[in-house]
This record gives sequence, C-alpha cells and structure tokens, in this order.
Amino acid sequence: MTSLSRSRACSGFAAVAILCAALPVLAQEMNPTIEVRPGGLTAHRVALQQFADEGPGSASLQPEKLREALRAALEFTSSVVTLPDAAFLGPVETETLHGSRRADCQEWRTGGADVLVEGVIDETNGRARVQVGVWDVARCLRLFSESYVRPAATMPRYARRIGDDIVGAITGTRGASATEIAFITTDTGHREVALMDSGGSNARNATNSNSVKAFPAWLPGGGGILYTAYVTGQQPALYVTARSRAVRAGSLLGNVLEGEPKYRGVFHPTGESLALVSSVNGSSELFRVARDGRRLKRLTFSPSIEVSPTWSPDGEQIAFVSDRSGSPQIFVMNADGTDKRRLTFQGGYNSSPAWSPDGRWIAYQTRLDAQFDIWLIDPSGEANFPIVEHPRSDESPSWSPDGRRIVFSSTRRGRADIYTVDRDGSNLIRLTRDRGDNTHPVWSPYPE
Amino acid sequence: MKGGDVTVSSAIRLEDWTYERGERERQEIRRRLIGSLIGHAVFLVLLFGLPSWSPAPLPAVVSIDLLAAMPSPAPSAPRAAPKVTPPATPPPAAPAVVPPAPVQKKKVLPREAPKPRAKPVLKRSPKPPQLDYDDVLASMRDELGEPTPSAEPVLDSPPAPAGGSGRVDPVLAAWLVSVERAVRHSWVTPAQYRNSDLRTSLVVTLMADGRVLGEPEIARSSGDPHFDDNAVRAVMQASPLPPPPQAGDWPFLFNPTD
Repeated sequence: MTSLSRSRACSGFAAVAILCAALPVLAQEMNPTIEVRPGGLTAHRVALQQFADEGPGSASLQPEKLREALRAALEFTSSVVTLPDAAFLGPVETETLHGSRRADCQEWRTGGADVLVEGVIDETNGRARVQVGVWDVARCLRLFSESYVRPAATMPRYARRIGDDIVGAITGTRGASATEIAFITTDTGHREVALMDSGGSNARNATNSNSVKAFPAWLPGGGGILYTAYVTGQQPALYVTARSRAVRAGSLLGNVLEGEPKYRGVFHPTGESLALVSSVNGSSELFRVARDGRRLKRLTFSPSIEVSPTWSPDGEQIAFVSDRSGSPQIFVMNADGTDKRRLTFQGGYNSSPAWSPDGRWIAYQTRLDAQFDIWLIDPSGEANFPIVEHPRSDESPSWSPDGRRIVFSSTRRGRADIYTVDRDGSNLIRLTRDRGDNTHPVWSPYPE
Repeated sequence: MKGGDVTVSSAIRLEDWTYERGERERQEIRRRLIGSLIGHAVFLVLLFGLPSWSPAPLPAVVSIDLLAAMPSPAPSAPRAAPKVTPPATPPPAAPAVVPPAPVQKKKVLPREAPKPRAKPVLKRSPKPPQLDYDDVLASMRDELGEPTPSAEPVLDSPPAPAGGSGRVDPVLAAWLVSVERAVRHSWVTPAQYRNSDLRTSLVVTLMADGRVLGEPEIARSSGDPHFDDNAVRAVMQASPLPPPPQAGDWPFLFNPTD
C-alpha cells in the first residue's frame, strides 16, 4: 500500500469509528416534560416544637407562652400554618438543637411537615436567650439558625420578631407581625392620631390636643409619625410625633410655603424628602421638598385638584389623584414631575392610591354607587381588579411592609373600623372595636 | 478528507523510503490523521449537539394489548408483555439507575443510517383499535374515579410514539397524570406566587421505584430563588413518586397559573 492510500484508509476508519460511537446519541430522545400546576397548598406546613428549657429556671420566660407567641407570629402571614401537636410524628419538645445534620427528617415529612422549627431557651439573672433552628425537612437542610438575647420580661413580645425572621427564612420575605398601624380615631371626641399593633392589640393615642388631625404617615424606620393638624384660626400644617429619641417632635416644614395650607406630607422611601400637598392661588398642587425645607420643587401646574401622593418603593415615581380629566382619577408621574400619565380609566371616582412594597401593584379605592371598594391596578394599567367588595364603604388602603396584607377602613358595621386583609382579599380581620370612628390607617415599616 | 491532500510525491514508494524521509512522512501522516479525527469529532459534536449526551437510555416501547388495558373488562395487568413496569415491590437490587428489563428487542441500531425512532412490536393480531390520547386519559380518570380537571396537565412535547402513527403509550400517559398529581399535592404556592409569570424547570433523576436520586437540578430558574426552592421541595417532599415507565432524567415545568 502506498502511504497515501494508507493515510486515507486510517482517516476513513477513524471516521466510521466516531460515527458508530455517535449512533446512540442520534437515536436518543428526551423524556416528555411534566407540567405541574398549583394544587391546594398555599402555605408551608411548619412543625413548631416547644423549645427545651435549659436554663437554671426560666421563671419569667415560659416555654409554652413563648411557643404560642411564636405560633401567632408565624401564622400572621397566610404563607405559613403550624401543625397541631397531634400530627407530630417526632417529639413535641425539642430534645437537642441539631448542628448541620439530623437523621429524623423522613419522620417529620411523613407527619406532613415541610419545615421544622426547634429551639432551646435559657435564662440567667433576668436575661433570656433563645436559640432557634429552622429545617427544610424535604431536603433535610438547615435553613436558619440564630441566637437572641433579651431581658426576660421583653422576650415574649420579642417573639414576634423571631417569628418574622423564621418566616423570612422559610419564604424569602420577612414576616410583618412585629409592626404597627397608625390611624385617626374619634375615640376621645375629637380626631387624634392613634397606634396599635398589627394584630389590633395595644391601641393607644399618640396625640392629644385640640386640633383636628388627619393623614398620618410614618417616617421611614418607624421613628415617628407625621400628620396634618387643623388648628382653629390657622392654616393646616404638618407635625411629627416622635417614637424614638432620634426624631425631633414638633412642626415640620414650618418655613416652607409660609402662609399656604399644607394639607398632607408623605415621606420618600429614604426619608430624605417628602411629597407635599399645598396650594397655589387657591388650587391644590403637589411639591417635593427636602426634610429640612430646602430644595422646594413644584411638581404639578394644573388648575385642577391634585392630592393624595404615594411613592413607588424605589422612590422614582409618584402616583397621585387629579381631576384634570374631569373626575378624580389616579395618575403617575416621575419623581421630578415629568411624564404625567393617567392610570385609571374605569370608574368615575378613583382615589387614595397606595403603592405596594414590591412595586407591582397600586391599591386604591373606587366608587360604585354611593360607596367605595378597594381595587388593585398594576402600574402599567393592564390588570385591574377588586379585592374588597362590600355594599358599605371600604377606603384608604395601605400595605404591610412585606406586601402580604392590606389595612383599610370600612363602615360595614356602621361606624368606621380598621380591617386587614390578604392581598388577594381573603382572611379579613377587624382590628378596632368600640372606639369611635377609625380611619386613614397606615402600616408602619419594619422595626429597626 | 485531509488524507487525500498529499503533497508527498506519488512517485515515492514504500521500498524507497530512507530513514529521514520516512520519519518526515510518518509525522505528516500522524498529523493528518489526528487532524482528521479532530475534524470529525468537532463536526459530529456540532451536528448532534452536546445536550444529546445524556445517559438516559432509550424509552422502552411496551407491547400492550389495549383491550386488556381498558377498564370495562376486569382491569388486569397487561397480558401482552411481562415486566412492563417494575411493581412497587420489590425495589431493584442495584441502586443505580436501572433501565427496565428489555421487553422486546430494540431494533434501534441498524447497520445502515441511524433511525431516530424505535420500531415497536405488537405481538397480537388482530391489531387493537387505535385510541385517541384524550380517550385514554379519560378512561384512566374514570378508572381512578377522578373528575376531569379543569386545567389538565399539558405535555410539553408528545411522548415517544408507539407504532410510529403518533398514538400515545397509555402506560406513559397514565404515569404522567399520576406523577403530576403527586408533585402538585406537595407544591406550596403562596398567594403572591399564584398566577404570576414565574416558571421553574427542573430535571429530576428518578430511580425505577420512583425514588428521587439526589436533588433535582434547576434547568431554568424563575429568577426568584424561593420560587425555585419551593419547586425543588415539592419534588423531594413527594418522593417516592409513582414508579416511572423508565428510570432516568425526567423534566418538570412548574407553572403557577390556575
């Protein structure tokens, strides 16, 4: 054979060898895809153990009370339900905190849990320590582990924040049970700013004076509450009631637009500036101003009424109410006042917009006949649907900081009361009872 | 073929090689041979695509007497072929991915040009009536006592055809329904995820008895790590799944729209 034909033959054999090796590849097919749709499970099922008491004597911090406080915090969000003890296939009380491995995941899974919360507590000299472990028993993986130290007497209340952390570890979004709601009440005979826990307990007044109060708004960080006060003989003005030492109570923006009414202020998400509703030549207009009163900028220039600003969570846009088109409707503009566009086209009276923390929805009230319902619209205006519908009036929506629930005011039982509801309209809970008319609720930010 | 592109003079013959010239030529031949092998390898990889190199074996085409599989006569196991799917007991001895015992000869590797489809073997005659996929699903549902769901599990691509006529293997169809139901019942979808546009694609390695091997791999993330996590958990929580028609990699798509 010549070297030429030999080299050709070698190449030829190599090609055939590769081709034969590739045949199984050619002949294979992928298995068909299984498309899974949502079933009935809308919440994670958590086995919450009773924490073991390792302290010399937890007189003030009792494991049963701590467990119930944690359970309430976990179930504050509809994303989590806790299993009853009868369903536990493992021990009801934590025997020992596990490190990075555990052998009983299958047992918990068989009992119907997909998450297990274990913990130990101990208390010495009035200080309590709670150590928590959160396990994904489907993958047998520890999701979260933390140690909390507080004065023993405050620990049961602090359990709400621990529960919120656990919800965050399970779902990715921190829970909001350890938050508050500010609102306006006529409890004392005249309108005052009031406060209560997110579950309705601990309601008390934050102001007490002769002026009429309106439009409460939280300082970012929750250190204070901004509100409008109508003092007889004066223009309405803005005031802050402090909840932490870092915040100075008293009037706000007193040196801005002097002589003009300041109807309402709403803080930018960073707290550095505010959207302000004031007046020019008798017509209400929107402004933006730094917290110290500098850099006042007018945002609207129309003879129509512009009120009710709400910031997008990134602080880049403002939704507001204007009747420039002939009836009160919701508009959106950039934070510098440019690019105003109308958002709502359905219904003859749309107001009180509130932008969700994830930026994807604006809750608002819309009038049908003589009463209002609460609807959601997305910022592009494409999706628009009701979440609270009732023959009596439902108004003033405000979002929880985790975006899972909405607080609003309703006259369904006669007097105005504050209610909260899931963002899909389910799980309605009434928060106020027998304390006059309660309106304009605003949900606090996460505690710092 | 590079082997043909020879610049060595054709006048040189084997018996004329001296040591130096022979060495040079042998080097040239080696070079050309290696170049040829590389060229062929690259060509074939590009042609057939890397994802094809999956270890999953061919789908087994099962010979089934469709009349026996229908519910109206006593629904006994298909008579046609033994070892259609491994029964729930006992698990296979080898824990590794085990293809089911070959039901019939797979005439897949002919000597000539490769065929992508396996030829089926229907042992019985007369030929059973050709059934529509929806009929088979409906009959399976009747047998299981389930109402027709409003949102039926949608198949991304048609399953491996039996008989080359586009009809669906009913054992595969029934398994697809039952495995979707098993995973759906373990899938947690909180309100903010329902009817969103998030989608997660997983590849799950199933053993012959339905157990999940290892952890599902995320083939395509939804962009939300907790949504992805819930999909992985759903599969792990549902394990062991109903035993699949064959062990291997099975793709899952999680779609939270009602």
